[in-house]
Amino acid sequence: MKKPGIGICFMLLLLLCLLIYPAFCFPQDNTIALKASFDTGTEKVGSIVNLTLSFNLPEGATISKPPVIKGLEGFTLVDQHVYPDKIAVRLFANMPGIFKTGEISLFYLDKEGRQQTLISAPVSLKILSNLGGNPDKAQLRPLEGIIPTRSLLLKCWPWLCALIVLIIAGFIIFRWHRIYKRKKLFLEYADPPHILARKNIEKLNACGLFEKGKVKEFYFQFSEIIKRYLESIRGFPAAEYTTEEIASHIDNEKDREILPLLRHFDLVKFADDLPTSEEKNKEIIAALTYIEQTAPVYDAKDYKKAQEDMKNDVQI
Amino acid sequence: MDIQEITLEVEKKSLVFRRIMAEIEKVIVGQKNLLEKMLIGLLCDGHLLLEGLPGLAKTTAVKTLAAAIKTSFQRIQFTPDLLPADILGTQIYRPDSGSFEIKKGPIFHNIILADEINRAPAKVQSALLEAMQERQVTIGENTYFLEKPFLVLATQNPIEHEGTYPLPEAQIDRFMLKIKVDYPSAEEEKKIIERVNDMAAENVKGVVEIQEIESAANIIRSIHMEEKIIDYIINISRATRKPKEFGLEIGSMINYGASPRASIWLSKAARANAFLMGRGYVTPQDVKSIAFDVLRHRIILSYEAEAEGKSSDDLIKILLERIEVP
Repeated sequence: MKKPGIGICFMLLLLLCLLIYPAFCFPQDNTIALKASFDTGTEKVGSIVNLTLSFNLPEGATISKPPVIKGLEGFTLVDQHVYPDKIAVRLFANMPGIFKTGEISLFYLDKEGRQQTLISAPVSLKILSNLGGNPDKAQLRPLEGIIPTRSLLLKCWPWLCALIVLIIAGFIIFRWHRIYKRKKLFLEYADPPHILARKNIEKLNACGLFEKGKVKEFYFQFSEIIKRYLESIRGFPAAEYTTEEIASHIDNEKDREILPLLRHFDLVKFADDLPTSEEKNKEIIAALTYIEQTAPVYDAKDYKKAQEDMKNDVQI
Repeated sequence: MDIQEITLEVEKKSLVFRRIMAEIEKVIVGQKNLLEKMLIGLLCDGHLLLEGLPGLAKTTAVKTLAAAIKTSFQRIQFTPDLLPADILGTQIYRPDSGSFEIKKGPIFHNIILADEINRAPAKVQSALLEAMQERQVTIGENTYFLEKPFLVLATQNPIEHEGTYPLPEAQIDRFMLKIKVDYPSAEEEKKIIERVNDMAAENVKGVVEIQEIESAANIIRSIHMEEKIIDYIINISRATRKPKEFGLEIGSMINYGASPRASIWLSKAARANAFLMGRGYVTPQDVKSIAFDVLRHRIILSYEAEAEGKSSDDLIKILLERIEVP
């Protein structure tokens, strides 16, 4: 059998030394005693102060429950927590000055059940005023500066944001609607009234309502085109006027030429009069001639400029 | 019958009314609107309410109309102490025979002039208006039908309110037309003075038989009315009820619009107007010419309208200017 080497013996010796070292370095204090101490040396009025009562009890002795502590009379006790080797007491610092206890005693029961006492030396703590070193000369601040409160603006910010979003949305819709309306207007009235009327008559004639036997329908539409044209060039609401009312509003010779046409339209519309195809064609020619003769005069340059302006407006 | 035939017939029959007009115009100067509307009432078998200031020949016009038609006429002056029996008639006890005898009241005539209808209390107005609607009268246990033509022309004075009993809206609706009688022009007034001097009123004579009026009234039903004109009439009536649907901002000024009865009378009156014009078909102008008289008493205005000084005529004018004509 091989004997252990010197190295291994040295290692075992070192391990043994490490194990027994704390017993030499930090010897356990087994003296039966009570020691009182504050966590801090100074504190401010209104704060909670921690007082620790560390104790060593003889073997078999116990602290009564709840623990009976004397010497803290005159202090406001907030609460206390009992640990195996200490009692943590929380006290309220209610006035500035030197916070000094008397001799603090703690009662316990030894292993025979007799009441015994541990006594500690008095401890003190300095309580400072919140108003600084010289409270008499301190200037008091308003309460809202001391107690933090939320301002109205902070409280309502989600609503404010929603309102701003709504306003922006409303503005966008309004702008869009305006542009859309202008665009529609532009498309409708891009042409001057005489060109629009002429186009509408040609379109009506081309759709063949008359040829399909829908004579009344044809004449209702024909009459409306003429009335709308009159409305746009003369400024009175011809579409809401009867032929008689239109006659009373007409004040020039040229316009009087359209009256027989409107009267005949009434006969077709309301008296079941059936014009021939030739009559219809003659009436279309008469209407186109009237439109041609009464067409508003535009300066080509002005007209082009007006159209450009309208286009620009729409784009804006 | 096609429209041309109807037009020929209308032209022939409307001559009767030209004769009546000519006879009335011997006495009445101007007031063409009033006279035409009276003839429309006669043709449509509808009762008329004439509203105008005193001295505008309302009573004279009615009297002259009755004189021009060979028919019976009675004037009833409405007063606060008038009783329903004074109009309808009553039972009278005859001691000699020991029985009750029926005494018919003035309502048993063809043309009745109810002068100042708003001066009689509600029970008398109700008795008259019920007879106008039912065209029959019950006295005791007997019911009597009123002979045709039966035309009530009621007059009322718009300026006096004291001691008057305004007609309830439901009863006013029974009048086909409410005609406003205006002042004559200066020229017309001059002629009136000359005519009074000549005592021309005495020259009016009956020129038309009742049968001729009945025959003319029959032809009115066959006068052609295009479907779009019916739509136009309905649009006008509906616009008084729901102006917003027609793009009109007058809704707050109207409490109640015209009833379907207004549409019925509007179509009948438009046909009668076409007849008087000698046409066998109705045009939108016929509707417009009669719309004021048919609608003005059927639109109940709100306080807002009254506060703004708007009359029902103002609102009808707006309606007619905004509703598209076919």
